[in-house]
Amino acid sequence: MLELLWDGLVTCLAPINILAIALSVSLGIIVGALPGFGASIGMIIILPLTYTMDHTTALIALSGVYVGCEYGGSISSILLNTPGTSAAMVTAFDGYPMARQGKARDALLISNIASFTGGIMSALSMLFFLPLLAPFVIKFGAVELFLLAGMGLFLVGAISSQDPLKGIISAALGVFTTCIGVDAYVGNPRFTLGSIELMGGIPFIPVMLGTFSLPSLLSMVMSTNCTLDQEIVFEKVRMRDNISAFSRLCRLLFGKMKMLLFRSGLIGVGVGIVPGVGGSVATMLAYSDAKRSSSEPEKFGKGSAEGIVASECSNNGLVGGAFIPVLALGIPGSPAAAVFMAAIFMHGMTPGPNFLTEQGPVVYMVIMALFLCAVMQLLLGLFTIGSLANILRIPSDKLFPAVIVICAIGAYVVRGLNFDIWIFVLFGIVTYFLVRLGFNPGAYALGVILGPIVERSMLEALSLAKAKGALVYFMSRPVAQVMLILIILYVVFRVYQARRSGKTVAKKALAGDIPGLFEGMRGADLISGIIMLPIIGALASALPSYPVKTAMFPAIVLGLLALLMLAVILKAVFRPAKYAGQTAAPFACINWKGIGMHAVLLIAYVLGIKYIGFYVASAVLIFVLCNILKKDELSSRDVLWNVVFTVVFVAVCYVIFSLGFGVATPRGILF
Amino acid sequence: MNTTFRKLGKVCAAVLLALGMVAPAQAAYPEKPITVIIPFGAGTGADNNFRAAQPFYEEALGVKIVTDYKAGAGGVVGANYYMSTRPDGYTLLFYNFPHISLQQVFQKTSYNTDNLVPIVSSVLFDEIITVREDSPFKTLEDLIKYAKENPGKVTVGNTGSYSSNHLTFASFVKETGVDMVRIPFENGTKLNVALLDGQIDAACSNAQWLTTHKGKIRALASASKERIIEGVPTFAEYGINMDGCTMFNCLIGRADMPKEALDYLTSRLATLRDNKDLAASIARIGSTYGFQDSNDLKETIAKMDAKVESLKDTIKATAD
Repeated sequence: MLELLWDGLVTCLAPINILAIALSVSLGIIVGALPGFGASIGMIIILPLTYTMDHTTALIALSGVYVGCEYGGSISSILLNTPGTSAAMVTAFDGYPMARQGKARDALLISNIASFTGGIMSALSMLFFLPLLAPFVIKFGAVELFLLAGMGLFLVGAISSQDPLKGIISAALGVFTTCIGVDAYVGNPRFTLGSIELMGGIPFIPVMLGTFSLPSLLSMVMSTNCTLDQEIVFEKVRMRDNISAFSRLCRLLFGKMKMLLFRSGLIGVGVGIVPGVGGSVATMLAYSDAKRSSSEPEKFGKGSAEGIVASECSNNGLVGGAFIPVLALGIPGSPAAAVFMAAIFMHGMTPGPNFLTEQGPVVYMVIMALFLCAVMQLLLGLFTIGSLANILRIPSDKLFPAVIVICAIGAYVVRGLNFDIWIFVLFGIVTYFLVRLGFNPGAYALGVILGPIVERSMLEALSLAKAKGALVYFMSRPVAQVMLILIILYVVFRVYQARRSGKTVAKKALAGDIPGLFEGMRGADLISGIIMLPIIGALASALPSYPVKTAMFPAIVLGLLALLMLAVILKAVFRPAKYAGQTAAPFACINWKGIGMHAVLLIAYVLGIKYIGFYVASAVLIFVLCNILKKDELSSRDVLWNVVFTVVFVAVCYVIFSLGFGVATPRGILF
Repeated sequence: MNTTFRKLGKVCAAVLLALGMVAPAQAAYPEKPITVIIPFGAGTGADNNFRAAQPFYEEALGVKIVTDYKAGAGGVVGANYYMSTRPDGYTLLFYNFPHISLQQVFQKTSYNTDNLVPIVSSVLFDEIITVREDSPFKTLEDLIKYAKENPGKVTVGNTGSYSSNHLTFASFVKETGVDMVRIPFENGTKLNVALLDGQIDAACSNAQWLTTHKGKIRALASASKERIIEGVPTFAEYGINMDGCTMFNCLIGRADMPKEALDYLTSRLATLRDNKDLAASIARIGSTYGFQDSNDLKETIAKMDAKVESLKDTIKATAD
């Protein structure tokens, strides 16, 4: 193992890989700092670039973005009180108050050191757990995968969303999406409407780009600009002062708070390993744990250093934890981990059972990369601290079109089909609205990722059980027995907990006005339920024409969806108290003119890509958007600048994608 | 801003007009690079096999080859897409048999063995039946005997449905009259892990896995004409007819392309038959070299089609 580790270190220290670490961590910090852009978006944006890289450089770059994002998320939490990533939400509880007390630099440095520690712990945990898991990995057959992936789907719906019912519906919709196309088990087409493109299914990467990136981008350009709070100023930006503050805080964190760092990091790793439970859960758990064990719990929420430490250390600890099931079992527990897995697939390797033994060098290289990325993040965070706030000043009128173009390449590159760019745009626009109805894109994406795993393992397990006898088969799977017991214990615990907290909920219901049947969120739920049921019925009517094993899984998913939608309707009609305070119509604050214009532009862009070619269409889109999005009066000077930006950006894209990395871009008449 | 748009529009119109006036020049085939559609992702097995042969194909044809990946549904999407390209001989397809033979029957594809012409193939996959090293089945007869005594109890894994492994399974079941349960796995890696862990009793897979799991799995029989793997008998030695059960990657053209283009492609690529460097290049990536020119391929594929036709019901029954 030491030899493999050494080889991994040597690989990571190759000049190209060092460069990859530096660039990817910087990019991760920038993307993470932008409000609404999480690690999964950052990773998926650079995925097309990694396509033609060497597999080591590709995985290193993705790890770097992941690590950088988890730290970068704290920057906007601290300076804007707007979390950059959902995992950094908790950081804002104490980071923002601390910044308002004039200690923004301290808060950022604490976050940096805690993130670094979390990163180191996540790498150590992989080093410790992976060899430990290796002998059990082969025992993970169909029934075990089914239990694990199914539990992940349930958890992401139930825990990560405000409304568990809609979270589970989101996950189920994601699973249904994977039922479209040739089924993975016996190979018969389903729900394809005769379309050849749909036979290939709805692929995961364009869906991710659509459901994550595009709604965030649209929200960014439609909302009023985030501006830095005037009260937050950096005390001094002299490097020497930064270093002395850094060493003072290091003494504090590694002295008094070392146990807190250790516990928070462990919570992060642990949560990362369980599929479906995301970063926001890890940080919440670590935060409440820190508060409980603190000697000064009253300071929490008012600028406590411990609060920042708990949150940031746990969300970086998560990174290594999330990689463990990907590498060992081929089950990604989060969208970010799924992007990482997609990159492994792209380079011709199959994560899962044999990976640890066959691809040992790659595994240990990833572990070493995590160490180095954590160090890089520490150094970058320390030496750029004076300019971190500048990230938040990137003009959205340039950022928006630039990221759209990169996403379009990302959507196209995997399969080389224009259809996938359509998926990116259409899913993005629809998700923009669904999010406002309370649906959860994270749960949806995880449904898309885990859907095929659940279907495949379910049918495999059923075939095996049928041949061997159900009881004999199950008794021969000890790992599955343990898992089932754990799941039952967990459900019992949750039911018990729900009963106990039931009384407090009843009291809370009195707060706020209760909307009428067709008002606010209550009406929206009722109407979406009524619209969805016939659609589910129509889809189900196609089922009888399919062979049994092709129809079985979609039938279960559609049945579940129908029950869940029915529950939504019943809740809207009979439980008005649950909607207390949600009188505002979900679509009330939507800028219809703005979203309409962007939708038309994006659709024109996709058509443009098909007919006039990618680079020309991109240039037109960037130029048009830059001019439209400019907030102030548009002077001829601005137009000139926009022309320069357009030409330079498209040229850079051409150099990077077509010349540098040899990534295929859609070809049209021009270019 | 309006004037800017107007100017932009004029420039675009001018460029479009200029492009339209460039008349296509006439010259002998091939006058420009040939695009080969690979209906799988970059870095997949098929892609690696193509890239190992690509420099030799380029040399024989005297023209550059550009690869274009159109993945999805195990190749169906890319192959269907190929049927929508222009039949000018400048776009070819690199796909597998028996996949096309099976898909044209079971999956209503726009392509079939009539509107496609095989051009050349240099990689062969041997179909075998494997068991774990410590399995009680020492010979193929043991497996058949046990399966006959315990109908519906023996589980046999393979990769995918309507695949070469599926055809091998269906052929074996039909020829021997045994009743076994077929379990399709996502890929060869997962299939072999399940076999090693004892989740399945046997596997229909390809010879390459014998090297991957040397000493842990063994082959009971191989579908090749003569013994290729040391110590492994062929199905024919047991009197089981497995003709047409094989798999190969193949460079394919459209039947409606210009005749001179097709003649050029088939005749030039047939000259690679005894090229030792090509064989070495294929062997270097761990694949089995097996050269077939257009005429060989037509013969093999005709056998395959006949096999699929005779097994139609068995394949359908074992798919579900």
